[in-house]
Amino acid sequence: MKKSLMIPVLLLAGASIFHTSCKKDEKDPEPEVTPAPTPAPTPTLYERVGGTTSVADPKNPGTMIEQGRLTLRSVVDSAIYVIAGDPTMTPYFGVLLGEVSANNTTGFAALSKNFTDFLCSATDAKNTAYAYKGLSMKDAHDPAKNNRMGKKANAADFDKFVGDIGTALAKNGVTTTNNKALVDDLVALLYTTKSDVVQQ
Amino acid sequence: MEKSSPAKKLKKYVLIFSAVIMILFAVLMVHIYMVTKPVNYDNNNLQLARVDFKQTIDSSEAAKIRHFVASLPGVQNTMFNLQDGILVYGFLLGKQTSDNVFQQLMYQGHYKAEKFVPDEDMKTNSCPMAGKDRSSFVYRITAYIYKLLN
Repeated sequence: MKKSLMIPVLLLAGASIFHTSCKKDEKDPEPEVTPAPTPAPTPTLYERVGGTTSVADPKNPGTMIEQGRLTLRSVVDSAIYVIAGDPTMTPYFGVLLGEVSANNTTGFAALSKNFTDFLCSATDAKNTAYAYKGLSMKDAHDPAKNNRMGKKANAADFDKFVGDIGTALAKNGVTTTNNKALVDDLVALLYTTKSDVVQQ
Repeated sequence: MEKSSPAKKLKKYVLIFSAVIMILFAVLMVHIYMVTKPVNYDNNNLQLARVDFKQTIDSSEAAKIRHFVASLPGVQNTMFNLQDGILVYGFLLGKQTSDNVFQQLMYQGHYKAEKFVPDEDMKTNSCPMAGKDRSSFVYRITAYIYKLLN
């Protein structure tokens, strides 16, 4: 072979070898891998009671409220009536029944907001306007840190309180018969605070 | 006659001291306003009241009582604890009073009952608010400044 042709031939041979060695084998294509479907995220408790859907607020005509907060507030407001009529709870919540003069904030209004804010935060509501800004449950129920707490709560009274919340849920159409999972989860949520609330 | 230098200095220090005091007082007033300004409550004027019955009330009588109380102007909701014979109702301040509701209920049904009124100790030592220690210096100065601002 002429020397002038050797280099191009060698280059061509090298390229062929390179191409052949790197070429995918058409006889055994790689199997397609279908990624596993991402499981749908578990809805939060707040989402299960209505979430962020905006609805008209029946207590404030002309304003909107998230359905989740509206549901929680309805349960809280019903619960406050039950608590006010429960003699066991009177030492803890007697101020609810202290009549204030017109244009002053009532005990009912304050407890409704505080407790609704607490439940919104505890059930994972994202709206910062609904965030609970009060004392921690431990401090709020410690007479040494909260002088409004006349005496320490005991376990029996705490159980009674949760029972009153259950009565309020039933008044709002949520029972263990028609929605056991939701009742159980809400009760379980309240019981996460027991170790902080019960200090006797 | 020229004023002496020490006198001028004293006057200057008094003015500076007075200005500092006034600024601190203004900051205090702003702080008190910020912490005591009304929060936006949903049920601001809804007041609860309770009637304890000293006689046995059955479910049909309880229903009559609830219906009567609910029909009174300004009354929003009612709840009857049958086990303990306790009526709780909510009414709007300025539109109704618990004394009036109680009187009308007693006139209508001649029940053996008492209007529940929490004492000052209960109002001070229970949730969520009210019953402040009105004898404390902090409460008195705060209340005075709050009145000036409102």
